[in-house]
Amino acid sequence: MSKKIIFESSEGESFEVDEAVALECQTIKNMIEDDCTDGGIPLANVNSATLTKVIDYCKKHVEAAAAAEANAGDKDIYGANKDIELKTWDEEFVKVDQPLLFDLMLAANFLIIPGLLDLTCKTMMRGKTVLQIREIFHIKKDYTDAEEAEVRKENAWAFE
Amino acid sequence: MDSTKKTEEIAAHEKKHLPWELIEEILSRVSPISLVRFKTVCKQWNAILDDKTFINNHKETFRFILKSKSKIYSVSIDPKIVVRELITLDVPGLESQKPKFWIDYDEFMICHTDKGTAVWNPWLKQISTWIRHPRFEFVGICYDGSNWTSIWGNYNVWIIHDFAFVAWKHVTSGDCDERKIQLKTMHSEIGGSLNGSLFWIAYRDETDPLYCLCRFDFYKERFYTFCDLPCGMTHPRDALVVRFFKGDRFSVLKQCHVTKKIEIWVTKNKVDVEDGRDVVWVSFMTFSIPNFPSLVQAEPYSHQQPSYYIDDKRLVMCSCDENGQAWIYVLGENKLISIVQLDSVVDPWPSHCTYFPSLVPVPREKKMKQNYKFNFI
Repeated sequence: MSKKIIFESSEGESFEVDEAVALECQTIKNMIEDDCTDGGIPLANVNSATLTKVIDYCKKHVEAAAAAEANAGDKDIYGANKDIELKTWDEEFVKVDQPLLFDLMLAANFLIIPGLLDLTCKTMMRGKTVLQIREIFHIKKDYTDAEEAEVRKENAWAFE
Repeated sequence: MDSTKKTEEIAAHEKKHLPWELIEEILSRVSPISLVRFKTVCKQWNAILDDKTFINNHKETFRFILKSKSKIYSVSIDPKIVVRELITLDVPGLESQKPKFWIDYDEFMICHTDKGTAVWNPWLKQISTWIRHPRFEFVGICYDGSNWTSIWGNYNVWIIHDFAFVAWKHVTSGDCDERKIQLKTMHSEIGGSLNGSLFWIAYRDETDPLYCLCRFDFYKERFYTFCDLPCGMTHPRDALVVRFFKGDRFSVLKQCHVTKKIEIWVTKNKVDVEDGRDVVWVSFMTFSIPNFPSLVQAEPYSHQQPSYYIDDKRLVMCSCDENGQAWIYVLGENKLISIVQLDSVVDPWPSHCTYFPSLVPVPREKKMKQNYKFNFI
């Protein structure tokens, strides 16, 4: 049986995962290499809902990688299909509300999961208007109306 | 205030106001066109999106562009060499034509086809109107931050085209000997523009082995011999390419066809475009690598010079081998660091150039004055 790693969410809830799944997180990988994961890993800034999703993501990607490796010998159209399947899975995975998406991105950044960070960043920013961006990031507009109009004018084509 | 509440508030505040490094991480994953829109979010975002370092580290950045018979590719180098197909379907006319490229020093590419010439931002996938002149050949283009002008030649007659006003104008300053510069004395079409001047490699006459940097001043509408190059050509298959270095200096790459030795020179100081007399060339890198291939191939492809850029202590080059396959060479500390064949490029003999993406939109005509002579395609 493979080694288990225990995560503890900000609410104090424990999550047991296979070491292979935990290794998807660069931060945890470093901790495992340094042998300091006994007694669980407390993740004070990741809540249970987010952690559940993060573990789902890592599990799926570990399984997909293993499947791809197993199929590497007899390469056929299924290899390509698997890629599409994983991409579709990813797309479904990030169909969540904005606050959870934001938390997932923070967790991916903190745990260093490059694939998840990429996925969440892109999803969060895709198709957003300037006003929506200000709202998501709590950014106060520091342009005067005239200045904003000027910057907008310079780049008018991008708003068409 | 009780301490738990305070911690919670701090946590909430941190979540609301992300550290700037994380914002940069997020923005480096955003598509180029969205980035342009996000310039209006706030001043800090506008500043970072104008920052070359940020753009050069963007996840979708690249360093070379390759054009093969049927496709246009981008090639990124770090952290690993990745070839991507640049979508070209939304650039009308580009696919069926065979563009030759001429590069501005870093904002845009000039797309030069039988159909005419256009300014192209490949990252933003934006292309300007095609310009064509029935008798004159496109030579180079210059951007001074607000206006675009290009120069066109026919033997030793030159005309200037103003993009904004769609107007043609003859170069009239006849008091200068160097107006006699002819198209055939230009060593290659690759040059660059800096502070309202255009530079390219030329030779004085075919018997003189020493090459010089030639300059055209768009304000004064005059040609100048700017400075001598630190090296010339001793063999028709020597490589000789000029590029800007650190934004305001020149670099020259030379490969001797006989020894295959590669030398890089850079100008010691910032270039004063008005005066080339003080230019001092210093040897910057030298590579004598056993069995290194020739960077310039035999006829009929001998016009294709290698593309290169200098990145800190590395020299990164793109060139075709004798079979027309494109390769990337990364050199540093007098040795070959890596060599990679771009085997996903489908057709042989792609043309290539160095290009660092930018978010500067391509110029548009300001107004249409009907009384000016212009050509539209």
